[in-house]
Amino acid sequence: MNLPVAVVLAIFLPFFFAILVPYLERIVKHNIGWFSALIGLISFLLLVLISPEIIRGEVIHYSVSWIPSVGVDFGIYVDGLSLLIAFLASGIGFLIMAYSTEYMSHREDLARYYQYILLFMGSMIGMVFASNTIQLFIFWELTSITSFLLIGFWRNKPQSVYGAKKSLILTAGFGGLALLTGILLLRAITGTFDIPTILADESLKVLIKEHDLFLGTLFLIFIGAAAKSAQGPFYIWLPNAMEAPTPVSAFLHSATMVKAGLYLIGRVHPIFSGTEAWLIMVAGTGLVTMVVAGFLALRQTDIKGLLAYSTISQLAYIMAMYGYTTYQDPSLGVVAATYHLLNHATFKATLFLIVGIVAHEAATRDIKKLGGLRKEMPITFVIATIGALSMAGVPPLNGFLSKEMFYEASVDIGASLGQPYNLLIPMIAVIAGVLTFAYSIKIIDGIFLGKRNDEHLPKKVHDPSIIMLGPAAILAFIVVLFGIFPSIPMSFIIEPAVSGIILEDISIYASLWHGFTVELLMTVVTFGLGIIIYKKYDAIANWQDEFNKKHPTFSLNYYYDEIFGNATENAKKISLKFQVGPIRAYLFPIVLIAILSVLFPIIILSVELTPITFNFETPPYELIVFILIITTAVMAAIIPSYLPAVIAVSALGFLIGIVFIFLLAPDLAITQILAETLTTIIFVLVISKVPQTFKEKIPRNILYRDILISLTVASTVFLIMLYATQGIIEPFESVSHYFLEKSILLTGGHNIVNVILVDFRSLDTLGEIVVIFLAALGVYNLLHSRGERK
Amino acid sequence: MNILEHTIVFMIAIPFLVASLMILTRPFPEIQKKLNVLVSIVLLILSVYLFSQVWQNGIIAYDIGDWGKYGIVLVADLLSASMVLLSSIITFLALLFSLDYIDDKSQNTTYHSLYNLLIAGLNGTFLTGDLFNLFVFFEILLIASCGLLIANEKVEITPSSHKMEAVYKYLILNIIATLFMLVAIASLYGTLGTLNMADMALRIGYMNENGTLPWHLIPTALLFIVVFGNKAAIFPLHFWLPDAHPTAPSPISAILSGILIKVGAYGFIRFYYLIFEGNLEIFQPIIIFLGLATIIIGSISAVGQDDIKKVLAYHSIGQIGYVFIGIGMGTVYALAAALIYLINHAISKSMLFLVSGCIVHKIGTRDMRKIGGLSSTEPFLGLMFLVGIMSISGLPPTSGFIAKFVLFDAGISGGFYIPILIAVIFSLFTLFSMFKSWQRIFWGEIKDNIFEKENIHQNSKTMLSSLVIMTVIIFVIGLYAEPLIAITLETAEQILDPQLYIDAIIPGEVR
Repeated sequence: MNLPVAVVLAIFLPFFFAILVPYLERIVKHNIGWFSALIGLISFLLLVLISPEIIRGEVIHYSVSWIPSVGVDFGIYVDGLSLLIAFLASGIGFLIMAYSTEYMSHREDLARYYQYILLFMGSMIGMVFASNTIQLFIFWELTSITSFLLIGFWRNKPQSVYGAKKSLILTAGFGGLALLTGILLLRAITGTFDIPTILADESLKVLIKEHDLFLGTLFLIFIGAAAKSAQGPFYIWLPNAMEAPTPVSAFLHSATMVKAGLYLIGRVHPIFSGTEAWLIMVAGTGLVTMVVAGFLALRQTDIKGLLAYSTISQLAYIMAMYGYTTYQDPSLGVVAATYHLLNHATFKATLFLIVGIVAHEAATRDIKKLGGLRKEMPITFVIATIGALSMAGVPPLNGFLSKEMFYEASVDIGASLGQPYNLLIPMIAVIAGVLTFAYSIKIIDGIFLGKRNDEHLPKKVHDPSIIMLGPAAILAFIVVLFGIFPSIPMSFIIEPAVSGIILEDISIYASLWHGFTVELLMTVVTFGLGIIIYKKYDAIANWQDEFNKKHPTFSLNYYYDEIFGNATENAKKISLKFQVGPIRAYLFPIVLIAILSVLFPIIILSVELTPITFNFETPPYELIVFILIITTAVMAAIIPSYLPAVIAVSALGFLIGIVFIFLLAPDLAITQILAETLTTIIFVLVISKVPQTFKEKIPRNILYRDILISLTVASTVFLIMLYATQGIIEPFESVSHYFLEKSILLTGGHNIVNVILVDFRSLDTLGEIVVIFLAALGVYNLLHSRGERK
Repeated sequence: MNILEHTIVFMIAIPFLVASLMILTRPFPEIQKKLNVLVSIVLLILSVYLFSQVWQNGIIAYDIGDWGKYGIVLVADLLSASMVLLSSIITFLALLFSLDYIDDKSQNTTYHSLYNLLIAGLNGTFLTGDLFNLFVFFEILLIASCGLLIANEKVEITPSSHKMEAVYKYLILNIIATLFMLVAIASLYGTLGTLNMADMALRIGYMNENGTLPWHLIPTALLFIVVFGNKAAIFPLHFWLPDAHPTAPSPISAILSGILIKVGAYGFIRFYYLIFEGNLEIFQPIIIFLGLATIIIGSISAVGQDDIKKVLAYHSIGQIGYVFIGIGMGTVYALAAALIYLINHAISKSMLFLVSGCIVHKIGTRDMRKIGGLSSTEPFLGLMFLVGIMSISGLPPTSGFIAKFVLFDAGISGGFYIPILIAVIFSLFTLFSMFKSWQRIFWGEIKDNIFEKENIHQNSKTMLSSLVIMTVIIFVIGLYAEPLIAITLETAEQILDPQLYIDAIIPGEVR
């Protein structure tokens, strides 16, 4: 098969069948889970098909023009790194869906469940194979949306709603927008969205690092990755995401989706790494997060909560290691990070599946209510122990190896940075390791060892069927296999993936026993301290509880809830400040803009006022009319009862009609007087039905304010009209000359006003007629359709 | 002679004629409905034809009465032709929705007549090449939309008094804004001696070149902010919108939010980029500033609403702000982005208003505090609403993502970092309040007694079909944006070269 076709199929088969799932569900009923798992398996096998090519060190790059106008192609870019994540997405996806067939009750909305999972799987595979940043972003956001939908799968539970919203805001919203902006900045620097182009071009990479926008670009892209991978302050969404069904948590929120951020960090590694900013941001965030999250994990009583914090902490290991790779040996941290990424996916998914089994059988996830289940659930116990010990870094499991490499890389980076980092970084690493060890032991001890908690546990608890045990067992087998024979994952998975990041071929040697080294010493110290901490486990947890009670504001969740929880109330207050109600307040900005439109050019733009000639030669009889106009206008404003005020307004109208006569426009005068008569009659008829005096007394200050505003608006308009009547600017002339010259010739009309109305500008007249018609229709509608309703 | 040469004028004349016909056919309600749908389809086809003509042959000018620039000229350039096409799509789909949604009595009195006049007003506004004629069409738009705003829905949801209050605010504020338009037109006419927009552009261009531009034309031009800003509902001229859009019957809300506020944006582009092209450096920062203020106020206010349609209405304010920063940035790419944003918002927001119409039709309330858990009974509406909010929030694979992407890209590649930063930050608010509303309506416990009301109605197939069509458009643009981007880029280039417009109307004169 053509390799690009296989990749495209692996991406779009899940999408295609996701759309079909609701219809297929009607036919196959609850077996839809097996059908969906099959799709996952097919995707996985398609990827296996292309893997030899990648292991050989080739990359598959193929693209077609998609939105050429803005330089966006649709393409696939397959290298070791993307293939690794895609394997996780499809492989674990298959196992999870198989597991779900038993885990999810047949009464659940299975079609929706598998539909979302398939959509997620397609998005995840599409994301890693995207060959340009925009395409990557599209699939990236799709994984966030599907994650949102899956966290809120049980959508009538308030906690699900809360958790889903939180994850959406932080990953799709905050992280997504930051990432998009970062991508656009990167494009502004490089002129391309195409990832391989940037990766292959050394001069571009130099350009990026020297560019003014470098820091902003890196920061925004890093925020996107950190939000997705629950690092730094963004970690708060992941614990709440545990409201999702457990297989979903295993799949999205430990094995795959949260790895998207790390994938992105790996992808942009060749572009940004080697700079101080990269080290501080990526490694710094990782180091802080791993300790904080590890510490917070101790307090969790819900095993899923514990696993969530442990996931945050473990992802922080990987993040820190990708950040390390700056100086002496660039590949050391990358190898360790990539290996731990793979290992974490295996042992953490195992543990989540175990939690699902325990919750399914024992009907609780509370570690205080569990205990002593080893005899009733022996197989589960064994699998859980493998997973937890691997996480704790116990040999001969795969977690041990990557933990050792983590220590090695930490020592290495510390040494290259010199004092005081040569001690500080390894110490932080060991502390994180100790905490990990402690909570890993807690999982085994709390669920399976000790005394059976008869008070809270059901009478009969037993191992589940093979369907639920199988996937967990397969993953646990991989954990052991990769631990004892590390060369298998190294040469087939890690080497291609690492060479995808550092962009050169690499051969890695790893074995279970690698001599007495500093790392080994650190591991021994870790186990020793871990056991001590484990003895104090409950004391530490209690101290955390106490602290939280005393200082409720010392938490990121507190601020999240302050901002987004009370958002509706706060926003309502703000919006009511603007949306006050009375129309008078809304008129204010209108007139304000009118005033500013004159003041702004004069003051800000300092436009020169052109000189103007005034003409004061007015005959006395005209002057009388103008004085009367002013008088009536003032009267209309100050008379305190309606009827006389209306009369004053209409008097004003008649006087303007007289002005038209002075200006030798009898038609206009007649029109004005007729219109004025009609409106006055209607006005008076209406006004006689309402009380004749104003009830409210306007306070002085408002009165003065309004007078000021009115006068300013009036002068604004006056000023503009004064200049506007200074005549047409040379060399142009008014179109009215044309009307005067041509009206008889072209239209045969002698009355130029009529000719303009019915000939030259007849469309205006028609329009105005329509306005009258419309007003009539509106009134008719109001009267007719409303009269008979209650 | 080819009758299709008159397509431009048909876009106005046909709805005018049909409006009167609708009065005569009142005794036959079914015929009336079918006739109106038929006319809408015809207009849609004609607008496609008009657009394709402009696309192939360049700008088309049509003299009413053959008076040239001395009379009134209708002009179809790519901008106006695409706006007409957009409005034909929205009005057609909203009409389909209306048929089973609007109270029969309302439909039977004046609804269809007013509807046609609104269409005529829209087409006239976009097609006219004469500033005073624009004023006339603005009046038609205003009065027609007022008439439609008070039409009754089948569900009695908004008390008449609320509608009257909303209409009153809408009417008063708009009339006052138009008064300033009259002043500004008088000022322009007094100084330039013409009302033809191309001629105005020609004359102002000449004056700019010779340094004889009188100072008061700048304040005059700024006065148009009041006019177009009020139509577009940008801050601080938006106060009528949060009352008018939610109280209107849903299909009318869809038109008001979808296309009517875009008239303001169109006005800004046409007026400043054609007539005052030489003074753009004064206006562009102001437009960006107003756009940002609008985004901030609109997005924050939207978060605080409990009424579905009010959330949508405030988002219309916020979203029009994004269009304005695109207009203000003024590069080819930015203008194209503004148009894409505008088109996306028209379709997505109309669709959301129609979905909320379906909810209202079924549940009989707009108050989200009384709704909950609708997903279990109305999964289809939930899906449609989700698509709409994804598009408004700019999430892929919808048209909204394309719009946001090109707008931000245009801003960043043009070096407008601060405006884009603000726009990005407030996108988060949009996403938050949109998804929060969706969760409030469709997730959570089913509230008792919502289905017990007497007034519930089933959503008919015609209503749903217009939703489906809009969804398809959203996805088609989202998945294959190339044609739209290519068209808008071409349109933006045409906008930025006013000489093309002038040549089409006044051939042979160079400014």
